[in-house]
Amino acid sequence: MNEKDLLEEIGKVSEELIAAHALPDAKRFGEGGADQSVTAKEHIVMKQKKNEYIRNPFVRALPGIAAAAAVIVAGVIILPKTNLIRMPGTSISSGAESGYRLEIEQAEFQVSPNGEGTVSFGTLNISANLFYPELEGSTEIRYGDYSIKKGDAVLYEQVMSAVQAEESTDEAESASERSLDMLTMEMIPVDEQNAPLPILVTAPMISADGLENNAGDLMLTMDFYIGSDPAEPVVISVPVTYQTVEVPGVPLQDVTGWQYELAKQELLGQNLYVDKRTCFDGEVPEGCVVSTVPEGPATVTPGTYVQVYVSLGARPGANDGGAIPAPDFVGLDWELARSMANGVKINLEKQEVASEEPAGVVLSQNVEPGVEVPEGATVVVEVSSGTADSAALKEVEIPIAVPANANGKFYFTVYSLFDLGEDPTPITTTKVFEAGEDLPEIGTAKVLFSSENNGDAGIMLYNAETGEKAQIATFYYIHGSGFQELPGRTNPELLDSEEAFRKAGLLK
Amino acid sequence: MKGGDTVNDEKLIGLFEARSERAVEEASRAYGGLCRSVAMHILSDSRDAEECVNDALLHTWNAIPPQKPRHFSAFIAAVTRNLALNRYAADHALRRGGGQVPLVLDELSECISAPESTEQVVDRMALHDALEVFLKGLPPKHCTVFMRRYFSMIPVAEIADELGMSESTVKSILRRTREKLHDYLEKEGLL
Repeated sequence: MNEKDLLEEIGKVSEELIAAHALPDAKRFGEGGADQSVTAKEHIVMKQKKNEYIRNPFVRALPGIAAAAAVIVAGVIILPKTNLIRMPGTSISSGAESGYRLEIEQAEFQVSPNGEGTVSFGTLNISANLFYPELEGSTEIRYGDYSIKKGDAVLYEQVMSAVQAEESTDEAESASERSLDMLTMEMIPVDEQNAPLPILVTAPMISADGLENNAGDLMLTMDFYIGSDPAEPVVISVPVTYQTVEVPGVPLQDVTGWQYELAKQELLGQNLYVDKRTCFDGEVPEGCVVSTVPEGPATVTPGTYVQVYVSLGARPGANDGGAIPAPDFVGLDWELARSMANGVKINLEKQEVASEEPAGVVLSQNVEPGVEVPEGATVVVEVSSGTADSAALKEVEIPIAVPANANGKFYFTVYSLFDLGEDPTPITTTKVFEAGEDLPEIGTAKVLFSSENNGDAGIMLYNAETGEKAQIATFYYIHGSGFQELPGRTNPELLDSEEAFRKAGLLK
Repeated sequence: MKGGDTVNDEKLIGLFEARSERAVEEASRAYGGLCRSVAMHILSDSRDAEECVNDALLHTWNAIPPQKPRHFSAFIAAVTRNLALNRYAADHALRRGGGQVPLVLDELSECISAPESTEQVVDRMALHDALEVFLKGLPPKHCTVFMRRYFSMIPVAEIADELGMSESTVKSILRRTREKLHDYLEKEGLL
């Protein structure tokens, strides 16, 4: 069934139902031939003068003051508290285009049962009707409704049954003699100071985007259902006036040049959020802040995300601009060639050519290596697209020297050097070796690796028992051809094995 | 607040049964406004609505006799509504019109289960009976709000205005009743 079916069926209900419920008084519409039905009235409430609204982004709402009378229905007194709307943490922050947002964290309604039965709760509606003449028609602020579970009234049920238990032993008073006040006092749960404890209805945020005034009215309505369903809801509507006031922004320090950790502490301390980014910088030392967005010093809204650019040090191979000798890319993997070119600010253009050389290898370039080219120049390279069967994965073997005095269980992981985390994610993990055993050749453990990708990898030595670790090798891998000779680098590069084993707690 | 079930209704029906020329005229005078309102809420085009009301009057003329509604207002309102909805369906295919129908369909879709069940053949008789029972079991005020909205397609603001409630109360009642309807239909195995 779909909703059209339902709509249709509703049209076919009995005449009694239609006559009793569906039809407004025909007289409302005047004589036949008269004008259209009553349209919704337009409520245009001119609040503050438009010119006076505050463009200041730092505003905070004060708790509103509710004025409402108690409602007595069917043996229950429902008392809205005078300080009805508690808005801790309510803030109004500047919206993007249209103004401010009002957030209400909490609303309280106090219910004082008077008599038998339990109170169950309906839905809490929070709506704000603020109409802006400059917008088309009217704007109703989005509201939420929140069902309050019956369990929320448990406190009162418990009180109820306690009082009812008392009733049976108290012969002097009968229900009719009890005054409203007495019952009320008995039944309101109280704290140590005998102050009534309210039922807290936590209403998560409603937002009222588009508020441009610095004051306004909210209507809080809540339905209560006394007894069990079906029952008429009791609705309480409480008008609440809120007012915005300025609160100061917070200082965003100029943290450029600071060590990142110190800068982070400073920003967090001002209730700002830190969005860490990295970049190369020839002047700012590694680990220090290059710049921030927004820039300090400034005053900003609390809770602003501040982008903090942290230096990775000088870009490898960076130079001072001007003319540079063209590097020799021939024989290199394309990805590697491209990063090298980026490093010296040369554009590399790739042309794929079928070749017996492994796929991705640079075959030739249109500028002789060593010839000077201006910064930003483009060099065209021919890159092998391989032949059908040159795409096979090439497995490489990295021999790791195990010191003679190594002791304990260990294993290796291969991970990407671009993984800057504390504990890099392994691409592969070897089995666990035990010093003194498992080693086919004395003093060497082999790490086998193959992958469909190219890239810079590291080998991490792990102590299998304690988890201590140390980097023990790095290498550059190309899936078609395995290791490659790299200018200025050995491949693979084996680090000090004894040092690594010591760091990992694997030496006797 | 009830619909206009007045002494005139009996006279009206009498006029129709007697095939009097005045029947349609009187009916239009008494209920033309109401019918136009229903049609407008659905079609939102006054010429279409006008035509619809006229069709409804014609339909009523053809139906009575032999039909003898106990509540004339209900009868003619239902006829108007259903004619308007049919027309809406046609217009909608041509992308004309606006009005309350999209909103109402959206609201009513909450009463239905997830799309998987749309493949089920609907037992219309069972649905019909179930709806009757459900509606009659509602607290009167809730039923009134519900029917104003989903039978007569009256906008929420107007319902609130007419019944002297706040809009949020009306919405609250509608929402709660839709939830109940959903649960009820589910329990009856109709979803």
